Amino acid sequence: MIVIEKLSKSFTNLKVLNEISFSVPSGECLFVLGKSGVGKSVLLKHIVGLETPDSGSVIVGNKKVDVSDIVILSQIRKQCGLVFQFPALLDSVTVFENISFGLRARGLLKNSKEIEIRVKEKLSLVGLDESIVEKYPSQLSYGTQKRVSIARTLAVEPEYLLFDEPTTGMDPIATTGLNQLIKKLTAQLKITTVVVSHDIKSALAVADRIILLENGKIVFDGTPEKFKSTTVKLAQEFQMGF
Amino acid sequence: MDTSINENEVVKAQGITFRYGDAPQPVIDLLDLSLKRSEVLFLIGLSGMGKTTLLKILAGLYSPQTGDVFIQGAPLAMLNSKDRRMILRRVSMTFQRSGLFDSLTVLENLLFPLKELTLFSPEQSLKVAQKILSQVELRGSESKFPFEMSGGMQKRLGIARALVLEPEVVFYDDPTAGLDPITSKHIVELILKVHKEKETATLIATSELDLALGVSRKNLARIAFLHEGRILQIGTAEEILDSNNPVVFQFVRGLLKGPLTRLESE
Repeated sequence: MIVIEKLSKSFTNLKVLNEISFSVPSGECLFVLGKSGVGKSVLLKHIVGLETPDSGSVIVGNKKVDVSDIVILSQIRKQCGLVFQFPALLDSVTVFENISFGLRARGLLKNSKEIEIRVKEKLSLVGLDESIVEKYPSQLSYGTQKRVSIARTLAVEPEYLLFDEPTTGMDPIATTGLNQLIKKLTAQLKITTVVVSHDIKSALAVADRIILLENGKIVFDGTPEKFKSTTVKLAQEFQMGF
Repeated sequence: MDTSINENEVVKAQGITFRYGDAPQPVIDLLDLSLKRSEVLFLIGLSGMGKTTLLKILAGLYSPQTGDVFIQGAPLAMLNSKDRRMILRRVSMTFQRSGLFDSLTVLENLLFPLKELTLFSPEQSLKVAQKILSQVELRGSESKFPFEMSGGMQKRLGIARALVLEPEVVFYDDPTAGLDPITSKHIVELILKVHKEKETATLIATSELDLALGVSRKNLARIAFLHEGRILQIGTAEEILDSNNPVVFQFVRGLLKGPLTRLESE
């Protein structure tokens, strides 16, 4: 479970998050929507301790995120898998080396056979064939690179999956594939998922629950069904299209 | 291949092929495309299918290995460098990540092309830059640096810079990528407003299918589908949505099964 309690954060004179409170129960897939620059990514960064709150707190599992406590912070970061907007793969190494990087760096698995099994298992989980392990990122389509980046995140077996704008720049087929994958991972691994996005179609298709941010506050918190019929103006504008 | 040039066609690509290095397959393969004066055309297709490459070829940034691009009837490959530069002054392009100079302010970003490519006095350049900034609603932000602005503002500045030399053709590379639906709508409205006021021929590569369909449904644009290096289909939103072509059918519905996903797994 993730608990955000009266979280506030300002940059210079701009109050980006203003006493925001919500919780994400275990196994839930939460989409955080909002206009560009509203603080969605800032919120995500607080969960993994990449930002320090001005006031308020973030609790992941039973641990309070505290950037001054390196031991606790390190434990929380091991529990959280962050998937970036762009695949952010290491270009000069193969898919296998990309996925196994975190395992080796953290010393989670030392036996090379175990590492190989883990890499193949995670590739299969994200719907990729193990035959691509020797390929380099440049030899893969953007959608496949994105899946490899998710496999890399899953390799260290996090309890929480955090996605930052996962479908940005993706074509409709890759978007459908990724949405189904997020849904599958949440259901199959019973993992808690927070997706920061402004892709309203994906949110309606995948989320168990949607939070909408505006001017530092939560202006909507409910199911996709409720989002479709809400009278909140911003929610309506998000669904309006061109 | 139709080799005639219609004077209404501001941009015409004829049988162009482009291959990166020694790649086995060309990205653009004997492609034909024309863009008419006062037309807005959306370019859609799978990620990595060559939309940006095609825009760069049409804008004269890449030279095709076969075929040619005609700008207002002038064949780019046949021109000497001086004439080519002159012709390409009528063409402008915005980049997916804006491509702004980080170390220059908003105003300096706009003054740069004016200083490099025109004989305007500093006063004239300032006047032109401020007029464009008003059009894209960025007056008051002259002294800001790009990193101090939101994604939407950076996109607007990229558009302003593309327009500062008053081009007759503008190519937009995924101008709404990474923006929320409301900001995306404002950016497209700005592009359409500029198109209407300046009568610029406009080609917009986009990964946002719904946006292209939405604009086309209002009879403001047509849509071209790029696949395996060629334009597979071109038409209105209805024609694209009703397409019998299995590739287009799968793409517009975002289906996981079909010829496009077989292609990926091969």
